Amino acid sequence: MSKEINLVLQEGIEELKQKRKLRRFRIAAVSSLIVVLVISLSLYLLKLNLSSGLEERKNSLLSQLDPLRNKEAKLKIVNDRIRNISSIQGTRKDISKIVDEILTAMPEQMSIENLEFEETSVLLEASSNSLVLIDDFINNLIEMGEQKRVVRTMILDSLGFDELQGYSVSLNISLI
Amino acid sequence: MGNRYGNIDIETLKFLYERYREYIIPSLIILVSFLLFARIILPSIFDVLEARETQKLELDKLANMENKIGLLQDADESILDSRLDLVSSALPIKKDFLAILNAVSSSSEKSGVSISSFKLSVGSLSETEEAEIPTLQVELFVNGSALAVNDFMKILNTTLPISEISNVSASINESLVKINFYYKTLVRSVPDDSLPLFPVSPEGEKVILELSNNYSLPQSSLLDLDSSATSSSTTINPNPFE
Repeated sequence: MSKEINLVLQEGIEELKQKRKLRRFRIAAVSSLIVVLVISLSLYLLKLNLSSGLEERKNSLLSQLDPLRNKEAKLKIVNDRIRNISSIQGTRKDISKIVDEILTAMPEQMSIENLEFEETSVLLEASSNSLVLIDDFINNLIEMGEQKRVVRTMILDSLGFDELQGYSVSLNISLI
Repeated sequence: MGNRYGNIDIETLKFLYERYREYIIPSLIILVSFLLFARIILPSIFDVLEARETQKLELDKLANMENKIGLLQDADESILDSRLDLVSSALPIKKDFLAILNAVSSSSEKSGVSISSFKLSVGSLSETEEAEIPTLQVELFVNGSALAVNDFMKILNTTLPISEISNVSASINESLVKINFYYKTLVRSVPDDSLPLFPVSPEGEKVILELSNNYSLPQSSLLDLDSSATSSSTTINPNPFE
């Protein structure tokens, strides 16, 4: 006995399939429209929610800030000046300290005839009645150079003797 | 032939119409939905994303404003004023000739040297300055020994406004000293609340402490000669926004 006996007419099955297909298609169409509408509405509400309240809060803060603007400007200027002052202090060369260091190397009985300070070098002319003092001075400067303090290099430009002034020395010191 | 084909086409179309008639409206609905999605929803999604970014920025800005309000409400105005005076004396907002002369005069007085002559280079008169921190160069002929001139330089180095000695040429009794006095003009700006406002940093506090402890602000007789001129030259409009 055959188990595959079809009691429904073939035409009826096709029609039923078509109806189901149509129904699904209609549901899909309506669903797509509903989805589009729901998404649109959600986006609208989201956008509305994002911008709500911010403007009011901003205006309230601005009204609180208005009387403080003068203070704000002062604080900004102070901070700006401090930044610039720090920058100057970081790069400023203190010539007097360098001259001090050189002068401490000079024996008391010696005197400076001429001192020319440029950015990286010092031209120094000093005089003394004693050649030993000049020797001490030069040795002290050499020692400073060895200790890497102030002096990088030193050139003895001249060493002379004059009956009136005594001994005079001219040094060209290159600074660290 | 053409008519026959034409008739066939019309009949085919009629057949197709009859067969798929019920699909037309749902298809149109799907088409409309698709168009709505493409033309309205997609741009709206981008709008919302943009609005979220904007909201984030706005919230940051509001947080900055709140911090700024707190900071400014806590700041003592008298301390702020005294600091403003101090830093403006150290680094004037313009070429302050009177302050320079006071500094030179006071330093020479303290070190016991005398100024025989001086040359002041006014520099560029235009508003724009090339250097980040411009200077005003002063050349002084100082009468005194090299040691006295060195004392003069030491004192000037700790006198406001801040200066830097660029060149010294000292002989037995007269020396030429070239000094650069720093100044910095204020830049006018519109307050930008999106930027945070910071209090004076610990390094800044150190600078203020150093200025007030180690530097002197000369109150020379030059100031007394013309107090009205002084007051007009030292008055600062603290608000560069105005």
